Amino acid sequence: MNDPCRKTAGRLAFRFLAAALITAAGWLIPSAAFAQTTIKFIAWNFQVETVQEFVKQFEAENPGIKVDLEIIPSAQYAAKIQLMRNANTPFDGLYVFDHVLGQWASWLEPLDGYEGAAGLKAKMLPLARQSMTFNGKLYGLPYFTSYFGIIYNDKMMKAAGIAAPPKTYAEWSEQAKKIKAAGLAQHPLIWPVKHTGWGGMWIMNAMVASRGGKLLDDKYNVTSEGLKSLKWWEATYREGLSDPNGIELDPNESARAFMTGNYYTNLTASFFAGAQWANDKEKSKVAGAAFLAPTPEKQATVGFARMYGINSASTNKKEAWAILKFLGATAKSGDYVTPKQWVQKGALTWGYEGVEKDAAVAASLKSWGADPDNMAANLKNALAMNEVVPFQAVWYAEWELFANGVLQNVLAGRMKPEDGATQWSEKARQLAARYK
Amino acid sequence: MTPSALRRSDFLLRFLNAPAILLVIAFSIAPIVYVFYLSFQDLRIGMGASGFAGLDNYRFVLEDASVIKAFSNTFYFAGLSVLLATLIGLGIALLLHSDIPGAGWLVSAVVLPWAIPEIVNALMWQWIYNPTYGALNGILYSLGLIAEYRAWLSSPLSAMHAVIFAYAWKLVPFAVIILYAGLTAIPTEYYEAAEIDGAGDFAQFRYITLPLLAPPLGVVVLFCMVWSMRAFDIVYLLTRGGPGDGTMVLSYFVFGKAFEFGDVGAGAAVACLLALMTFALTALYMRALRNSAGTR
Amino acid sequence: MRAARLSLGKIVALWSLALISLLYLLAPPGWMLISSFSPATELHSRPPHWVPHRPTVEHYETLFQTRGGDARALQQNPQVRAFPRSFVNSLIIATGTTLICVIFGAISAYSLSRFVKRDRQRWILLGLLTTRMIPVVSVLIPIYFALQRLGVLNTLSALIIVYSGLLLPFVIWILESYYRDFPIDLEEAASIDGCSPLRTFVSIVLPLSTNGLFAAAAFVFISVWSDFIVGLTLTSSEKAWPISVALAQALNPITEPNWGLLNAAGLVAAVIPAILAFIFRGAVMRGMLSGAIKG
Repeated sequence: MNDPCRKTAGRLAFRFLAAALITAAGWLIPSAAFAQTTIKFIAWNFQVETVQEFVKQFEAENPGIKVDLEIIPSAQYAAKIQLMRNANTPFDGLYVFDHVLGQWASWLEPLDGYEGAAGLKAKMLPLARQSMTFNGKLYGLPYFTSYFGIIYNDKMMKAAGIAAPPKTYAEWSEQAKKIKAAGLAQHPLIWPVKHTGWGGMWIMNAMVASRGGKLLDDKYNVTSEGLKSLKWWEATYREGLSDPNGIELDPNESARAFMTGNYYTNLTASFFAGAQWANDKEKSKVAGAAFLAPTPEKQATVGFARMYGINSASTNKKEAWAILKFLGATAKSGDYVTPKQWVQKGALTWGYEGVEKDAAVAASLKSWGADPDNMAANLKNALAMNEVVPFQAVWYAEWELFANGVLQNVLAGRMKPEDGATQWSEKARQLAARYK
Repeated sequence: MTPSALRRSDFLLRFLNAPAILLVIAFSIAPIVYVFYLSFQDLRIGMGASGFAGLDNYRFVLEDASVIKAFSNTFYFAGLSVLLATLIGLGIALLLHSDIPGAGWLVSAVVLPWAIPEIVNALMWQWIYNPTYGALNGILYSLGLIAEYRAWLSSPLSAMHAVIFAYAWKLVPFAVIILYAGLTAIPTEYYEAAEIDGAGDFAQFRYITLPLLAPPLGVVVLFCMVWSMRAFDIVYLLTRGGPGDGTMVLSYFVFGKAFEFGDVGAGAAVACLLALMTFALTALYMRALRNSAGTR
Repeated sequence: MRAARLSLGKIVALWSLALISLLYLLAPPGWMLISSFSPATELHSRPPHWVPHRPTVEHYETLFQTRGGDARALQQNPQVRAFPRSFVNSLIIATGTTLICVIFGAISAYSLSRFVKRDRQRWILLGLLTTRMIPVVSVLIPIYFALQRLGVLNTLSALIIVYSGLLLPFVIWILESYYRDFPIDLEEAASIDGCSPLRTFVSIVLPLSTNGLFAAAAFVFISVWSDFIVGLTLTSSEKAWPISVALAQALNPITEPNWGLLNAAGLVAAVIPAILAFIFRGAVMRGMLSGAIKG
């Protein structure tokens, strides 16, 4: 059967097979040549488009590395990451909150030995360096830092005939009473209290630091500075100076409340004074009149830092370190590309000395009324939280959530400050015993 | 059919049971056994897994004031939810049974709360309870019942009741359906006989309806109780257990302990205690039902 | 209480109570509906505008990203962008789970009711009931571990399998009592005629039990559509997010919540189970009854 159709079919089949093989080779060879690595990087959902842009910039600079970016909503971030680690889900780099560093250090990669790490560590601000060091080892590069200061409503202040923001707590109460008596605000003081990620306990830490002390001593008893701060704070609610409805406001909500122009002060993270919040010309009624003042008394304050870390179980640590450096330090040009953009896009402060000297950064800060040198000075003096509370203890996150609930009860008048302090101590002792 | 064909078909039927059995074992039974096993393990993030812990987790958990509070919160939450759902359900069921014109609308409306996803339920009530623009504040203010807008989810007591009201809303359909069926099962002769004897509406309700409704009422209470004790979504979505620990129920406590703080062993222990408690309550309840049925 | 014998006073009283009950059941979702068609200015008025003066569909347009939608609102609520995709996900997951649960649940329920001895039956049923007593949150830990090891996290098929495993006990329980009451004469006649048990089930019992099957199907679909925590734990991106998870994330924004958009999203998330429950309300009610009363 010399079927001509058969022969043609055979030739066709051969051609098809050849084409398929060539295509397959064409697919495989380039990828083999590039030896591309894909790293998985996990972030929470703050300004996702900005992060995606940074990732694209990084990929452009590093053609051999592709980044698989996963976004987890910040409310579920810590729980989800714990779960993923527990189950050995592979990932390479991630955002890390400083208040879980103690908990996560057991599976984060220490960075001291990586190329350039020592130099970066030396250039870091003390706040950043302390927040990212655990048991003497460095575990992260700074994403951003922030310190706690008083955001005050300058318009309201001047209208009440007050010259400057308070330098002592007694003065703070007096000023608030004056403003209330003048009818300028029903409850002049607003605070972030409810805990979502962080809450009122960090305000406590700031107040205690400003009095020059710690919140808990070595035996987990509440110190006199701690009790004094709690009593003062509770008194402002009792005397009608602080808004009782504000006890259920978390940091974002209290910042938004401040933007309505109904309040005199909000002691909160510095970036809430930026152009995206209090000085947002479109949304804030106090835009152009909201400034940052340091905490009263000794004017020491606390700060916090978010960082980028590497999973110690990662198989692509070199590439992960590359993206960490890009995001948390300098691009190949040696310029702090990402940290500077965060200042402009989110009024987030930085982790390295001298960033405020950059022209673009300084201009951005000045645009909402901040003084770059003043901010830099405050940042330099900001204490890391573990100087005030056992911040890096494995059990700290759990204690803080509990303590925050107790704080809400005290401020609302449902519990006496002394009883609240006792509950803080007891819980700390109980958790410390469990995790000995 | 030939014996071999029958056997083959019989085998096929058995074989077709396999997927269901496998799935149930894999996802409903095995995890429970594993959680039970975990409750005796020391598994805490940051400390590594250090193996068998005996009764340590249980001891720690039972001495923890937060756990006791979660238990009492859960009892209160479940008790009041069940009470509310049962009473409202009974009321609506009686209305349906009274054959008034337009009851058809009510029947159709009854299924709606059950069908709405819990997340939408939470969204709905969060909007209604909103401290600045909420409908509840709007209504009460317009009626002059409150002087100024209030933050309903802001104090532990008010938050707990707000959450209970929102949760019970979703339980009502089940109660209505079961109780309505129970009502229709009561023979009309009893009522007619009572009419003849001169008994009024309330007497009829007390001496005929209520006793004969006891079994369906028992079912409603049992199911609602089991469901309420496990409630998680509504608390997670409305209050996250707050303010403070005002609405911290056991399910949410387990979530926090195991997922957020990484103390998986303790979380598993609380979960097992909750299951044990539910089981015990159910058993007691069913025995009480059976006894009361026997004495009638 | 027969309607004919009711006095006018009683009718008025009952009618008012019925109206209150109707309000109790329909007002909350009704308010959600109205809010979804209200512009932001009216949503932010105190007291609220019970009927919007200027109703708008802009929230829905934003939600489905069609022309006319508020692009800025979308930018500030990036989670909402995943909404259309998650709607489709939920459809797939719910349908898949329903098919598996109804088909295999029916077979197992039938086998259980006919071919398993009385006391064994009771133990199995009791066991199935007990599995529902442990909070779902805790069984998620081992399930997560297992899925992670198999590498099937964040996939729709894994979710379908997990939901099936979690819901089958309930389905079997409901259908078992349904089949227990089934008149056995038809089956006996069929077996005398020489039909195998499987044939009997497929050709005779199954077609006649559509009521129970529809009830079970409605239950499963609505339960899966409703679920939140399982979806939250086992998924990590919009590839597999069910609608409840997408909606939950939109509820926790950093900026001021856009209530019009959220209410619209809530309505869209609720519309399918609501319609299903309405269409199958008869079957659903009978399903609730057979499962509960025989318990």
